[in-house]
Amino acid sequence: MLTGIKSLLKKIDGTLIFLGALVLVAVIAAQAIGGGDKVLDGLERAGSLFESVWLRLILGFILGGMIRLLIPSALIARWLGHTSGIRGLLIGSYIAIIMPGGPYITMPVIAAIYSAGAGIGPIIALLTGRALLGLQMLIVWQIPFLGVEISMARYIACLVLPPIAGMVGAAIYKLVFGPPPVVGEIGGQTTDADPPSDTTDDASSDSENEV
Amino acid sequence: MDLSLAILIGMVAVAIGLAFWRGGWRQILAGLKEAVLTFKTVWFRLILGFTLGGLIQVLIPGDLIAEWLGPTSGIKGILIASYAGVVMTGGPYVSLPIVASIYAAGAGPGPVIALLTSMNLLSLPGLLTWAIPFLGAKIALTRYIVCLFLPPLIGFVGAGVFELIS
Repeated sequence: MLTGIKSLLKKIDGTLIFLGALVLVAVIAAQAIGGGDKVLDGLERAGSLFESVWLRLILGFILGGMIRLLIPSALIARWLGHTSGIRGLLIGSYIAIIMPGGPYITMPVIAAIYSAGAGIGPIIALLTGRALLGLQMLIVWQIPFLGVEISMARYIACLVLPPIAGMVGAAIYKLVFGPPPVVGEIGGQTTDADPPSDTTDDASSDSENEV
Repeated sequence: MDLSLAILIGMVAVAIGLAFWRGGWRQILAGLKEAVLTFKTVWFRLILGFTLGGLIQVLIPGDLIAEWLGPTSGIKGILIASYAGVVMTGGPYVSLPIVASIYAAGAGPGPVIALLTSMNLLSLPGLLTWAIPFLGAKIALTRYIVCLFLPPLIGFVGAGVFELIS
């Protein structure tokens, strides 16, 4: 019991506090607008959202885990790491074009790439590229609903933006949060307790030794 | 089973096959262990994210957004569209029909392109339900802030490109 509470307390970080505070605000707002019914309605929609993605999410986690294992950290650090420069920004920006699927699959995969030692700039480029240049989004959704002309006009207008967003993002991150956590580049040690990096690194170096 | 699920299952099967080829069952188990570790980090954040996503849906009705946009044009239309996407919820199967109806109602290519961009780039549910739980608040918020000014820009440029190719 005590260890359970302890491990729960250990989970509390900036991200969790931020999300928790927003949930509280949203619950209060829903309560103020429509009472308990509105809150329940919101929770029901959360439930149906979860219901529609849980299977895909599990598959996404598995894919992320396999990719984390199949692509060595050293390779990710070399191609997308903090010192990968413009090349890292370009690779991050444009591999997003062929990344299929909704967030339930791309997010576990991007988290795996991040924890394997990718830099802030390439990750931001990848996130931006995914949102702007995903081929699946263009072909499956936008062209059928809106036609080729307007969908292609948007796509072309967005082509050069992800690397720029990555570059500016890395600079802003450094300015606001200080030097980024170094992951995967110094023997799998991490200097920051943020995201998946803190839990996955030790295990990954173990598993790599097993190969 | 729909196509996207089939593609996803295919990708997972290929990854598991590759892992088996590289190191047998041991390698597959190690991959699953990685998956569980990621899950352990994000599960609680995900619950909060989904809760937020649901509450935002009931707090902001989608039809209101369609009403705001209407057949507006010019700079005002592009600016409204650029930030309407912030509160648009649901997957593409919800949002694309809304955009299509706004387009059909007479909105210009600039606002439609700005809206499409902000839906994907600045969606608040996308940020809160997915990016923050998986990557942490710092990097997710940095990306969001950098992208804040992009939809109007893309709206203008996109409208120009639309003129050229149509």
